[in-house]
Amino acid sequence: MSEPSLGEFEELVLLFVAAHNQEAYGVLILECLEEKLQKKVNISAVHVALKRMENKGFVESNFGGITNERGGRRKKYYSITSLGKKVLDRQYELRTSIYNQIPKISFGQ
Amino acid sequence: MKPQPPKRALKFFRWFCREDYLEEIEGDLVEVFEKRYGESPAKARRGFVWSVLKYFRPGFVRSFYKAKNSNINAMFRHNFLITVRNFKRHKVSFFINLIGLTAGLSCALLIFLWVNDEQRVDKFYTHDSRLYQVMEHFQQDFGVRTVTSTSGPMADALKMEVPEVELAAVTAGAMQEVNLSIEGKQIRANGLYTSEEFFKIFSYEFLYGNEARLFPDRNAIVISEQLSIKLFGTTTNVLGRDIVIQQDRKYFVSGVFEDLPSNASEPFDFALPYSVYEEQFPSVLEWGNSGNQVYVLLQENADVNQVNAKIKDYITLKTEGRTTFRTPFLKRYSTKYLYGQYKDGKQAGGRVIYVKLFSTVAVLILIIGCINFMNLSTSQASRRLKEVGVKKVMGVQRKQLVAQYLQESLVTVFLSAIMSVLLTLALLPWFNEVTGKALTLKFDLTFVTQMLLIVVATGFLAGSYPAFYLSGFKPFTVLKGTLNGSWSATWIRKGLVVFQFIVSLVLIVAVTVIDNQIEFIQEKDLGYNRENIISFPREGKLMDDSSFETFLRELSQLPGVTSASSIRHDLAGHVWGVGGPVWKGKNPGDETEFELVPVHYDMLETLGMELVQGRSFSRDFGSEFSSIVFNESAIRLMGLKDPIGEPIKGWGPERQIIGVVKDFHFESLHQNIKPLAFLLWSGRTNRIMAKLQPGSQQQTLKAIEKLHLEHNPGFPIQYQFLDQIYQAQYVSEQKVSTLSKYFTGFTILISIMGLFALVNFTAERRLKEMGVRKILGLSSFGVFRLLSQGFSKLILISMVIGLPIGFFASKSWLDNFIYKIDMEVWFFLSAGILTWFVALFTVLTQAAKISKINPIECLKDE
Repeated sequence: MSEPSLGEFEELVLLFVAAHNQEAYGVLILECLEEKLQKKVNISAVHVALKRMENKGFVESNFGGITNERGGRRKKYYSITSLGKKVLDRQYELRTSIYNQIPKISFGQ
Repeated sequence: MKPQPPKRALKFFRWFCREDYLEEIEGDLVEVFEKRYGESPAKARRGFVWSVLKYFRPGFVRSFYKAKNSNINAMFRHNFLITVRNFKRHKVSFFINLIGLTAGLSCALLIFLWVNDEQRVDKFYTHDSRLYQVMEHFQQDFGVRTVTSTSGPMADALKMEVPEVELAAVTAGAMQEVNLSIEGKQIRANGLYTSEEFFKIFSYEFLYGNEARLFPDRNAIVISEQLSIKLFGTTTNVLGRDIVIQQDRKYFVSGVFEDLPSNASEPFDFALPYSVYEEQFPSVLEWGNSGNQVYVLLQENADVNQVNAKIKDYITLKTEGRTTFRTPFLKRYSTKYLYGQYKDGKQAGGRVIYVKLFSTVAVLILIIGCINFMNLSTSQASRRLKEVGVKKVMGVQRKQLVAQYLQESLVTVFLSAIMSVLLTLALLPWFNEVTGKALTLKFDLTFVTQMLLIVVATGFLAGSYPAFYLSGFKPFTVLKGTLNGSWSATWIRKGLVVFQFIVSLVLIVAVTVIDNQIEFIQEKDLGYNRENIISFPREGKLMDDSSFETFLRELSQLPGVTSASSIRHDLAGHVWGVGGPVWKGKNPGDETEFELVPVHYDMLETLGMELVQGRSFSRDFGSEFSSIVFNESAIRLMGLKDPIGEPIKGWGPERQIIGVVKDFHFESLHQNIKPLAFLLWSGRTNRIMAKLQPGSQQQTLKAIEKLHLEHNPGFPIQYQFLDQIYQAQYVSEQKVSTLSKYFTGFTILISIMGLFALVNFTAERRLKEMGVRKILGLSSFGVFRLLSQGFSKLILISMVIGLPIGFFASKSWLDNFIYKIDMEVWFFLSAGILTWFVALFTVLTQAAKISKINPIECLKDE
């Protein structure tokens, strides 16, 4: 079986999960995305990506404690798995190795 | 206060989202919403709704097919097991439920069979919807009398002159118990005179014979299959064989028809040509006379109201204005049986009253059985509280509990249904004897489906309240054991007991009233003496006047016979009404009919009639053929102050009134006493009556039998006692009386069992209390008093409600009779006391049980 693939949006979400390991949850990821991408993202897109990656085994999750925020509803914190990290590393390697092959192109200013 | 996200969107989200994602996503959604709310509440709300919609996609929507995965069979098996265990543990209440429901269902089943049969009477004819009988309203001084007879020429006239009439037939002279003989054999059978059309109208099937020409000549007779077998032992090759009627005239068999079903209301064994009757009694050819039955088959799509409008003045027209008081009309033949009674020209009741009455009783009895079930199940709820509690804690939903209890009641009802079918089969022969019917249980598809429907309906009726009551408990109160019967539950339970006792009381009152009225009727002094009088037909050789005189003389001289004479009929109903007598000062418009009773010498004396004025017919006064005796009603009607010697014209020769007889009842007590006249006219007397001395009646009867056979060879005597003939008028009332007694018994039995179970249960619940009280010195009577307190109140309430209902119900029944008993206080007192006594007795048995228990027994386990 070939290794599960990682879509572009999924990769972004996975990067944020890795960046805020153990503390990443839906709204946090959403806000980071909106900040970095400078555009509106729907929360459902984040959840779709998270759930998909969880099924693929890139992330894992656990509930946090009950707080007074959000009407007592618990947050679900995501963390990256070793498989997720490996996929992320390979993706990064792939990208940088190809990027490095780019000759210095002058666009003439 | 925090901003609230759109409620409906949230509700929708909670409904579809899978459970393991719900909390996380909802939390995130709310957090985003709250953050954005500060910027713009409207936008935040829109965003929330939009996000929710976006979650509605595969992967996030929960599975809706959970229920299908659970094993239904296993659940039913489990419920069934619990049911069986429960039955085993609480045998007493189980049997009370079972017996109560079985009794209720059996009663309902029997009544259902009876009602079904009553409603099918006369409905089996092929042309049922077009089959009518001509009836007539007689406008009389005292109101309208409605009769089922009309004039003989009516049939032919209708067929010729009314286009809507397809066929019409006339019948006459219902022959009761006439003598039929073939060589070496003679039997009695019922017959009538009619025409060939009759068999077409009523769609008789013929086994043998030419249907187009049933009566080839005046000596033909058509017989039923049954009669053929009785007479000849077979139905084959009987065509053309001879039958002698009344040892007089010989007829040959020209047809054999199939027997009618048992629910034909007017069956007969043989038919003779109507032309023979016309020949014997030419008076039937006249429109002015009445006494024939005319049946009519209308064309398809014919409107009966139009026909009725056409024939309204038929009699007036045909008699050229001589008879104006008769209004003929058509009555659907198959409705005559149930809706046959008329009061003042309007349809008023009939047998349908009893059909309705018993249907109500059946439903009531069934409800009472169901009430027992409800009461027991709810009152014993405490026994099953732990079960309900544990189940609920384990996550059983309320509807599953409801299903379980409904299943339990359905199982009980199903068991009782099987038992009630068996019981009904066992009771049917007896029931048929009481009702005079030939009912059978047929296990065909319709019966099985109807039975299943009843089972399901009863199961739901009995099980619904307990099911919802039991399943509604809150698990923590139940398991803590703090649940006490809620106010509404006890209230409903008591209400149900009260209802049961109301029904019982009403039925007891009704039965008492019916019973007393029937006794009153049978004991009533009718104005003549009907004891020890036998009556038998004047037939055969005795029709001849001179041999009749000899016979009467010898009969009255027999030892043991006080007197003997002859009369037109048995004085058990209206037979011969004749209008048209003229007296001094008569209003010419008066068309009142008089009941005309031809008698022979000594008849009034034999019947012990009391003369108010004048004298009776007597041989000492020479020819009495122009004498007449009236009853008091007739004299009152004519308004004669000094009636003796007054002339009466219009009935043959001019007659003189020689006597006035005290009013007596010659019709059933449903009717007022009508005007009546006695004539000395032995040629028109049909019944011979003899008064016997009490004591050696058997010998006297043997002697009369012998004498009759000597004078009338070939006619074995067929006598009846007059009081039995009289009682036969009230057969339907007697049947109702017997039936209602049994059904009331059933009702009381079921109610008492319900009460018994309830008392039993209360006693059990208060066992500890009683133990403590007994240790402190409570006497046995004290136990009884404590237990009976609550129930006495209930019975008192039932009396307050039930007795008035009973009063009005029985009063409306009594209003059918002109002569009736008065409602007496003791009817109600006895019903009340009886109920009270039985209820207290039930309590007493429980109290006795408790007072025997050693208090240690009920206190040790705590």
